[in-house]
Amino acid sequence: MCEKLISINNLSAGTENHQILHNISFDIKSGEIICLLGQSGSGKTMTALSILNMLPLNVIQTSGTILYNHTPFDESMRGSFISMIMQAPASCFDSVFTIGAQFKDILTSNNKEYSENKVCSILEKVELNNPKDILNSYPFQLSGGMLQRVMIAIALSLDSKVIIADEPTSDLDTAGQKEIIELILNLKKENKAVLMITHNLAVAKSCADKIAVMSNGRLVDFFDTHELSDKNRHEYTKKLIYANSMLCSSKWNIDLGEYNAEM
Amino acid sequence: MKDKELIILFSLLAIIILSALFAPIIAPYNPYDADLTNKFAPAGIQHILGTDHLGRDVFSRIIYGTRMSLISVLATILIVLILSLIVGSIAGFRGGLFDSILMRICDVFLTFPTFILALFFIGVLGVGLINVIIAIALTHWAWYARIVRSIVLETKQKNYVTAAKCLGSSRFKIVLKHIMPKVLSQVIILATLDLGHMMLHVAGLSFLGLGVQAPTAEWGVMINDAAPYIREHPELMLYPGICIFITVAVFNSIGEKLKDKYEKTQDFNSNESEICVKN
Amino acid sequence: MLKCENISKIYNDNSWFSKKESIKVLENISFNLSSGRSMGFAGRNGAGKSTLMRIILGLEKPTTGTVSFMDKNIHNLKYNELKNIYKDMQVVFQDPLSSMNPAYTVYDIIKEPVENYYNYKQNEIKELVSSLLADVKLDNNKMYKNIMQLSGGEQQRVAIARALAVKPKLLILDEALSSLDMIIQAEIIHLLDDLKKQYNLFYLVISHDIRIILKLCDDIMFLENGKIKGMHSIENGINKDDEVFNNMLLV
Repeated sequence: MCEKLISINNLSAGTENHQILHNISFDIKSGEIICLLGQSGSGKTMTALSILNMLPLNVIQTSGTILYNHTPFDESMRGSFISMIMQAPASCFDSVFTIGAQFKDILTSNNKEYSENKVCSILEKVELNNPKDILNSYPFQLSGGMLQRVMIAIALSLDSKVIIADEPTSDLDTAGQKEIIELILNLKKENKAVLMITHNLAVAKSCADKIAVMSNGRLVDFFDTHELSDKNRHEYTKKLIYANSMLCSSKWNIDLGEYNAEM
Repeated sequence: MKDKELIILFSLLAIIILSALFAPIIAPYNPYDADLTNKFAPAGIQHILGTDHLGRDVFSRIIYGTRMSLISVLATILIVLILSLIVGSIAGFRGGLFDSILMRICDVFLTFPTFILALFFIGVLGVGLINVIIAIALTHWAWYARIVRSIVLETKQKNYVTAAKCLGSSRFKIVLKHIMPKVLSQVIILATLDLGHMMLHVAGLSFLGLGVQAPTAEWGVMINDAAPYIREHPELMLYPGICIFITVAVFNSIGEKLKDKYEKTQDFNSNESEICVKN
Repeated sequence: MLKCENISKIYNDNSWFSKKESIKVLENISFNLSSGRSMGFAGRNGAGKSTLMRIILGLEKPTTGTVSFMDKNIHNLKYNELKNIYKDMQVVFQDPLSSMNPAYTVYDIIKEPVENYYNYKQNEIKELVSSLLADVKLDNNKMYKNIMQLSGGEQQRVAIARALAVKPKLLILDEALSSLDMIIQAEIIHLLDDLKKQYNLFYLVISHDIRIILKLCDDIMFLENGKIKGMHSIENGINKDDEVFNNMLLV
């Protein structure tokens, strides 16, 4: 069940005069959701990009190895082995083509067969109710939440084992966030490994098995979600927990914190 | 590397401007002193670039010509900017009927090729430098007005303009503090790019004998004067030609550089639409 | 204080090529905001929250209905008269960066409303600006920094300081916290809570995150597809089985 899909070892990266990532190591196992928490600018996205081997041109991986199923990276892994869900879904689709055309394009370029029925069933899986209409519509006709679902559907249809989700919830409203989190929890059931990047502890708490906390390019904390309230958590994690509990408690004693625990 | 380019460009620009400002000091002779006994004198110590068909010193005439070209071009640009800023901002900011009427007027101006329209205006107004300036300004303002309007429209939608409204700023203040700086920074760059183009217009019209009149030291006029003697003394056409070429090139390159710089800061600020550049 | 009656907003799609459609963004919104009580609008994206805010601010005209603020009908006022309204009603927008001109420094940005409402001398303005910066817990040395050089949280503090410069009674927060990191959100909520007492303010919070509203407001109004789906007074508690409420809660 828990095979090690990606193992990151001592990963460091940076530009010529500025180190961005310092000695990051962790493993991603199948059937596990790992949440990467951290402030903006803490190197979350850089970590994800180096896993995809898509670092920006001026950033170089200076040391460390990333092994994918015990082998080093090669181009064909993108799509078939790892796929990515982006933050701003609206800017990730080409507004000239229909969703269906783009879907087909992605599948065929990954040597997968495109059949409308199959795609429709996947779209239904991500709770898009009339998949045929969606395939015929253009990206700008759909809402952010719907596009995010389409993105997840694409990742699902590629059948890749690892899915990296870069802030999939932060452009959505709370109700939309909830729905996307449920979908991501469903991914876990299909034995996929998910690396989710977020700055929202409540989101992480609700879906992650393990939480990795990053601060200033370092992995400062890595723990199972149920150990969140342990005493020996890092300063930054404590700050996050405090902020979260502050946001969740209301002065009128509607205890949203408890509500969270029930979920 | 890049700095070198800029240094060369700006030193050339400085030479052009200085020679226009201090023409009486730099020029060795009076550009209008004809000496028929000494016509077509070769280039040498006495006359750096020789003399023309009336024995006037070519070098002095070129130096004085810089003055004429710069003044006429700057005057044109000034008229164009004032006219287009007023029309464009009113159209962009007020919108509605104002916008429609003003933009249709612009459309009329834009439908004609600029040179033909300029010829038409000169035909109506008569020949002469001032009329050439007016004609060229009138043929170019519409294009600028459209650009000003589109920038105003774009900036008007900006959140910070809405915010300024909610902060109680008057319309005039919003235009002055939030819209004009942006419009000006873009339009001035475009104008720099266009300076060379307008200089060619002035020289071209003068060459045709429609602009600056014969005895005046002006590059277009000089080329026209030298035209009959092209077989014997082609260099007389070449000198003012090279001057026009260098000046136009300097203005264009500086405009290009400014545009690059501006776009870089724009990219830094936000992913804004580029300014369109006329060919 | 703020009274909205039967506000509806209908957008007509008048494009030549598509069939004519009219979209109802708001339908019969009526509510009353009495002085001293803060209210929150909760709703999903596209529920019409922002349109309602723009109508309240007088930036857009409703198709039907009236908005009156301190017994003045906002939509009957001329541009210059609206200025008096904004003296008492200020707004902090969603995206701090886009709501401030990127060409200016913090000082220039906060100075703008001060110049509009008071005849202050240069050094008086400077004093006011630095006291405002202290109120929003920003360092005084940030005063002459360009707004682009500040972080998102700091930018939002500047936006709050700018809104407070005219000492308004009502402060509208239009998703003012949703683009920020969680820790900064918590910090700013703290700050807003303090400012509420210090400036004797009350808030109109527009957010999809119900937690923020519960922290800052006394009343909550749910909007769904342009209609009011329930109004609650938070101190009385909200039934946890309330469907609308549950839908809005994060996970």
